[in-house]
Amino acid sequence: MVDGTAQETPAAFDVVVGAAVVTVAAGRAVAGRLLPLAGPLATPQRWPEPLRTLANIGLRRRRAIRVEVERRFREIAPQVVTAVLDELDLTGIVNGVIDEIDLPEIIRASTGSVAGDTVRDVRVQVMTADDTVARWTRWLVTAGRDGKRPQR
Amino acid sequence: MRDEAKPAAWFSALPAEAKAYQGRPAGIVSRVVANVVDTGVVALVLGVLYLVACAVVFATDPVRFDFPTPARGTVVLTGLGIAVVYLAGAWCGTGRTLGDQLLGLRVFGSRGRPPRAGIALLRAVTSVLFPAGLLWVLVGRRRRSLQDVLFRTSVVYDWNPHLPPATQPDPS
Repeated sequence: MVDGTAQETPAAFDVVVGAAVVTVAAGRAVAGRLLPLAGPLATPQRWPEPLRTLANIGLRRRRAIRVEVERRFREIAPQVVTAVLDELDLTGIVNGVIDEIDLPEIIRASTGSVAGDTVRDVRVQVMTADDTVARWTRWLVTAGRDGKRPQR
Repeated sequence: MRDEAKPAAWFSALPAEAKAYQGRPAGIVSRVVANVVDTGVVALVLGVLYLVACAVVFATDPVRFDFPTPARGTVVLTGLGIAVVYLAGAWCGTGRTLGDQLLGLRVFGSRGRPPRAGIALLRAVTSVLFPAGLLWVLVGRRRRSLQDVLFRTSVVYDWNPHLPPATQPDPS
């Protein structure tokens, strides 16, 4: 198999790539030279006096603005929240939701379904037993005068 | 108005056979079973009271602690007292004890509401002292015990988990 790179010739696009590589390399070289010079700019103590004064004025103003914004926010936020809550009629909403979802019924249905079924069966059986006992008692009290035994 | 237009959720959920019984006077079996359950409740309360008494005795003098042995009369009288308070409180409150709750029963007074405190107390005392009065349920079509006849109360099947409003008709 023949190596393809040996037969390739430069194209116009390669000029663009080459220019980009040279530009990036030049940029890195320049940045490498300038960064040590920019170090003092990051430390305010090394700034010239007029610049430091200006920065201090800006810092004080920025802090004052932040304090003022926070104060305004603390003043306004409760009023806004209170106004929104007043408009919302939360009690009505909560009552409406509670009425709609019928929470006690859901709780009963979800937590007591098995026990509820058992209790229901017991109740029905006991009620049936009530009727049976009542029929036999009535038959005994009447001493079978009509001659008919109680139907089950 | 809404209750009149549409049956309550609890009533709609009842099995068909239970709907037929709703509001009817309860029979002897239901009431005896409910009484047995209530007797168990009273025994449980009595046992808890005994344990509390033991704890008090132990806290007072732990070195010489020994489980107290109350006199039989004391136990009986305490049990009867607990039963009276329990029954009267339940009847004049929601109209049902725990046993009634289990069996789906409710005690109503003469006005279709749970009996008043005085009536409930008298009914509880007579029920505790003369439980055989329950046998009167077997006699007569209205299934009333001797206590029911004396104090114009009635016990009905009521599967409604809540005490109905004052418009409840007199089931007797």
